[in-house]
Amino acid sequence: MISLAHIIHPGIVEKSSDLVIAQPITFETMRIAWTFAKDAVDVHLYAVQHHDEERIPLPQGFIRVPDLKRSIADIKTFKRKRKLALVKDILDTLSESSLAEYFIYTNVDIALQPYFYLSIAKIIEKGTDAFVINRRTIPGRYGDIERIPFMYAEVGEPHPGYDCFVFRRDMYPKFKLGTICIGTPWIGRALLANMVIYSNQFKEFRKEHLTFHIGDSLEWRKDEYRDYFQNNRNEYLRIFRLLEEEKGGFQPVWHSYLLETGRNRQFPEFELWKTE
Amino acid sequence: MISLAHVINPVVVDHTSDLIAAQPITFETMRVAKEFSKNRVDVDLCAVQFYDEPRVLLPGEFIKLPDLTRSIADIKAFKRKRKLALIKDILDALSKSSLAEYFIYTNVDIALQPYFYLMVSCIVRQGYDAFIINRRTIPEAYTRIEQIPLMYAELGEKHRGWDCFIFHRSLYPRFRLGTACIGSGWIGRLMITNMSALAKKFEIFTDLHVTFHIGNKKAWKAPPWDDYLEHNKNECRRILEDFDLKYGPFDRSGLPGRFFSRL
Repeated sequence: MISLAHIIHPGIVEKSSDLVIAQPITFETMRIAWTFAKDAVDVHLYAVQHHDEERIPLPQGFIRVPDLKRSIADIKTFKRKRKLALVKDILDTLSESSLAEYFIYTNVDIALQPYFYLSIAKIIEKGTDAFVINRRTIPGRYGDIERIPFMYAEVGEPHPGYDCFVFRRDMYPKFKLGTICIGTPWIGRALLANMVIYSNQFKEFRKEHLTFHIGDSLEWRKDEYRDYFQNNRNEYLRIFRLLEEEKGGFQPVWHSYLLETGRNRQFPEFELWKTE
Repeated sequence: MISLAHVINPVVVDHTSDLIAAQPITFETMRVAKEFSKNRVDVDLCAVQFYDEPRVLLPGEFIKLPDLTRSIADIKAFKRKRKLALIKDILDALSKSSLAEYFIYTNVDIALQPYFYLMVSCIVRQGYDAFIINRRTIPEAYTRIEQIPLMYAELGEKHRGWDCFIFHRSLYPRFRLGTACIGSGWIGRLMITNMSALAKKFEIFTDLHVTFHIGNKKAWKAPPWDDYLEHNKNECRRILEDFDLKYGPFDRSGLPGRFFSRL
């Protein structure tokens, strides 16, 4: 039976934050997916918080891992202080706490379809050892966990962002994540580049119905947080150069996939199912 | 707790039929969906077969309804004989055997997402007493029940056909289904005629991901079977005209009135 360790980073949020609605839905859909997979996949759910914040009550099935002792605000100065966790710190604590064969990291506003872990196990069985699953964005009108069946049934819209990462644990010690922080762009590319270089078979699932996000407010794009964006981008470029040196260069399509944005960006061909 | 009774008509098929792969997937996804809704929705899974055919192997959760004692071949002669069940006989068997509040009929090649029955109960709680949910069509490469988790994850393509019907049992005694048979066209329009004319609140949900079908071959549209299509079309015409007099006149741009333009 494949073992999966899935970590999220819940936080105490202001009343105005989208996470007031999203976090409980994430918790509940993770709990449901964990229960649904119980007889077929060995799933362990983890949550990590900052050391100095109030404890969030975790639902049944979640394991609290040792707290994060720092944030990006302890490392650099920004125009407006935000306590954003380093993805390396989140994954380090998972790595130290779990013996699972595969690690999963999702943003805390990403909800799961009930069969998420079963599908993950099938994808792994088919030989893919590192993959990202792009969410579907469903309408922003949902706010109540009672309406989760409606959310499951929503076709939603595809979304190009990266917010769900699955990879074999034995790759992790090689990962180069520097001081990339969550909650701002380029974290996706940083994980992607590591997964691409250290996996045997990497895929990006762009349209599958495995995860969803309620609405698309793009809070993190606000101009006042532009320096976080710039910091992550610079850090990613540094990491990319390190990975490139280690690999001796990427093929043009992969180079473009990992580095470029917008219309110039090329995509390798990925499919959920291919007839062998 | 809402109670649902869901009937399908499994059939014995030869190795060339798509149903060889599709039927076991339907059975398994129905079993899983019932289990997923446990303690929240009361679901009876029902199956009905012809009296004179070998029993199709079904999961233990299924209730076997009394057999069908006739097919369309016993009623009318067609160019090529096919033993197709009458939709009325299937629903009569369900109605006589079940006390559930809502009835569900799906084609036997329609598979369910795990949350299907939860979603049905949510829609019922919104006041709908009759509704249809259109399927998503997923790639035909899938053939084995072990692949079901990957099938669930396939978003597939939207499909225009009607193959999943849900209605309150109180509507059923007024249904008129004539001798229309499943496995051919016009069944969807006939069901819509009944459901939309008789329900207080009717809807066709075209954009939900709650059922799926593997591939989209449309074997029933092949020329050798066009007289079955014609038969069902005539039955639909007769019932639509009667309903128009009794419950209409129907708006010709809405449902079911707009079907007049196709007759």
